[in-house]
Amino acid sequence: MEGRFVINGIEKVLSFEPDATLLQALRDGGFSEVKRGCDTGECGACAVVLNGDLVTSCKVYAASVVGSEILTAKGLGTVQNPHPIQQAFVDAGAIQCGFCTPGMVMATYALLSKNPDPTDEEIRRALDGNKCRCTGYVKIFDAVRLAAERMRDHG
Amino acid sequence: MSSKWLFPSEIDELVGLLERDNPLVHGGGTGIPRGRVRSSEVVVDLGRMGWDRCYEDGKDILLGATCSFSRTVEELSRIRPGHILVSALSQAASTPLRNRITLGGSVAFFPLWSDLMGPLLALGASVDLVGTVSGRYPIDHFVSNRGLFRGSVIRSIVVPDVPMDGWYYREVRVGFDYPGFTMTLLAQRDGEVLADFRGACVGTKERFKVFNDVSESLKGIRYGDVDVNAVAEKLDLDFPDKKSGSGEYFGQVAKVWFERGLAELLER
Repeated sequence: MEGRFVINGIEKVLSFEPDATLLQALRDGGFSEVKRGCDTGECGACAVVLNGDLVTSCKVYAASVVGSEILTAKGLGTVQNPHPIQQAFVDAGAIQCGFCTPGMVMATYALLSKNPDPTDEEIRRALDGNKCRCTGYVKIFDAVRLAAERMRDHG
Repeated sequence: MSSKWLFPSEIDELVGLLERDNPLVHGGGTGIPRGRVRSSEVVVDLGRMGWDRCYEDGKDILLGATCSFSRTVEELSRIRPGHILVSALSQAASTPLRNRITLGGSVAFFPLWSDLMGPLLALGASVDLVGTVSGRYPIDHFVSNRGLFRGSVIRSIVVPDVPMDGWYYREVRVGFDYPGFTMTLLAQRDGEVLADFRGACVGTKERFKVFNDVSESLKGIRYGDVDVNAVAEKLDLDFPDKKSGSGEYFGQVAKVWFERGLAELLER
């Protein structure tokens, strides 16, 4: 099958099998920043923003969302010009092995897009689908707070 | 086999597909039976049916089958703030999954972790079906007799719009654990009297237990006269052994939480 998507603001045609997940279609299409973790929707490594909502792309059929807008971590910023959320994760030391980071960044983006000044409870809830086995989450919380502060201050 | 995905947007078109092709129906949630997609000639996606809203309809609230949990929480919070479903669905799974899990899929598959069925059973909800068996059916009848409803899909879930105080509990070891059981209790006060009481426990040996006997025994009793311990002790709940505990253990824990829930409701 083939399907047209808008990925990170650019129209793109992806080829995939009828039973392919969005995760598979994205990775096969070159979007390797979307990480394959548990394949059961529990770890959040494959999280992307689909039509404005955070989803685990391993639990979405690609065929089911043809025509949709998808945002991945690469769509937020680059190494040379990182998004404030990505920079905050670096500055707060919230990255260790880095495998969970794209999903964490997307979850943070989904949260701050709708709620620029979240409470700790709201951060906990927004990131409840993203697992990290290195950091213990403390620095991730720091990163989300720092990103929120910078985005509020600088728009 | 190369499956063909179809996206009907009208009821007639959908019903025609259901009758003709014996398709695999996909609601858009977390049910990803990839093997079944591979072996199905036709996959019918309900995503364009427009069944993704919640609204009031006379004495009922209609919840569209393809409504995600997040959208249900958002819309129901506006229609009926503090509704028991808002409390229960907010606790289910995780944020990215709540953005995808649909009400219809959770009724059809009845996963314990979805936190949906207890409140629906306690509320006396119905399902509105289209297909070979069209019409409205009580949800307990639907989930207990799935074979009778083959070739039909859920269009919406019909929840009676009755103002009741609600209490919901999911038995987990840590927040993101799958629950051992869920308990839903609802009470309606008329002055000093318990005008109505309903409850359901999901996760028992028969999948669920609706507290009809308890409801009958409590209706019309003055709040202060309810012997919470005695009611809990009489509860007839039979649990299977699970990874997180034996059936006997869950039986005891369920009684404790029933007691706490009822006490909390009566004190409101």
